[in-house]
Amino acid sequence: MPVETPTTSIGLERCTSLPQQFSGATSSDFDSTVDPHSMVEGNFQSDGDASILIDGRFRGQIDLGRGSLLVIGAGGVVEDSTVIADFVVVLGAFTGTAHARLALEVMAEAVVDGDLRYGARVTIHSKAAIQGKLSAIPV
Amino acid sequence: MSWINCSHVAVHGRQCFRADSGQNMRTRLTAHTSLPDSPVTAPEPRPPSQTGPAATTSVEVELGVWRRSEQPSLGLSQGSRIGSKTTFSGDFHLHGHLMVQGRVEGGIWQAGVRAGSVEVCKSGHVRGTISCSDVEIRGVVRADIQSLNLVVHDGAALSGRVRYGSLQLGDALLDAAFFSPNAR
Repeated sequence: MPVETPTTSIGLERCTSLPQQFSGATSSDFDSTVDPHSMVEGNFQSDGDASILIDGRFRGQIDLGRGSLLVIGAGGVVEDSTVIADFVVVLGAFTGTAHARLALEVMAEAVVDGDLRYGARVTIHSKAAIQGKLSAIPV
Repeated sequence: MSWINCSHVAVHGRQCFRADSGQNMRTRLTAHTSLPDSPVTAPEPRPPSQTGPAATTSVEVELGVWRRSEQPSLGLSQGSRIGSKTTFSGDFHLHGHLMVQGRVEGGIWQAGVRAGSVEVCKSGHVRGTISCSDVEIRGVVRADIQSLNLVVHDGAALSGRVRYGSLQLGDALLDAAFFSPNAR
């Protein structure tokens, strides 16, 4: 079966909140991916430093451990979901609740509607559309 | 990989056996365009909120709406992947290729008429249901499978009920009921 491993950037080089190891990551660098043509309903879970790229449509819960990264890609639609990760980057559409233990970044062209919580840092790029509550996670 | 003669593998009812690589025979069944009726039925994904109440009747309708509304992505990710660090539980409706390196508990469904393929890697575990055109197994699968083309590689472990169009079996650990294309 053909398995392509794309190497083109997905735009993370524009992120300012990500640590070095994630900067410029391509889709093939992610532990798990949901491609633009797939529709997924359920739960992703990892106790470790997993990285997940959602470029398709997702509904459910994502709960990742320390050192983890969740990216909702430019074509990704995550709705009615609860997502938990150390780093959360939104380039697409998101509705629900997002917990970014360390950093949350909402890129330009992203559309977000929900409850956003962040630990240490939040970055909202201009042209991002946000509706909902934005708050720091209580220490 | 060594292959056994799969034309004799099609059995009805539950049987346990282990493929014998010493026979060193190789036969590929001709792919059949249709499968016998299967008890495996994909659950309908809930329609996305943007699609409105009209898209409620079937998977096809919902996915048609979804395809029209989807944003053109950057075309970067050619297939999905469940990584070795990840466990997924739920229903995965795919329109292409899915590589399973981690754990999946639930259903993997081919959405629509476009061919879908699932590859369960050596580190992959799947428990639940797989309904897809092409299925390739190198890891551990405990599932009901419906597939036009099923390949079970050396070292894989497969249990469950299997409805297939064509079948290739390597030296795998099998505890499965196979239903041939001619099964009634």
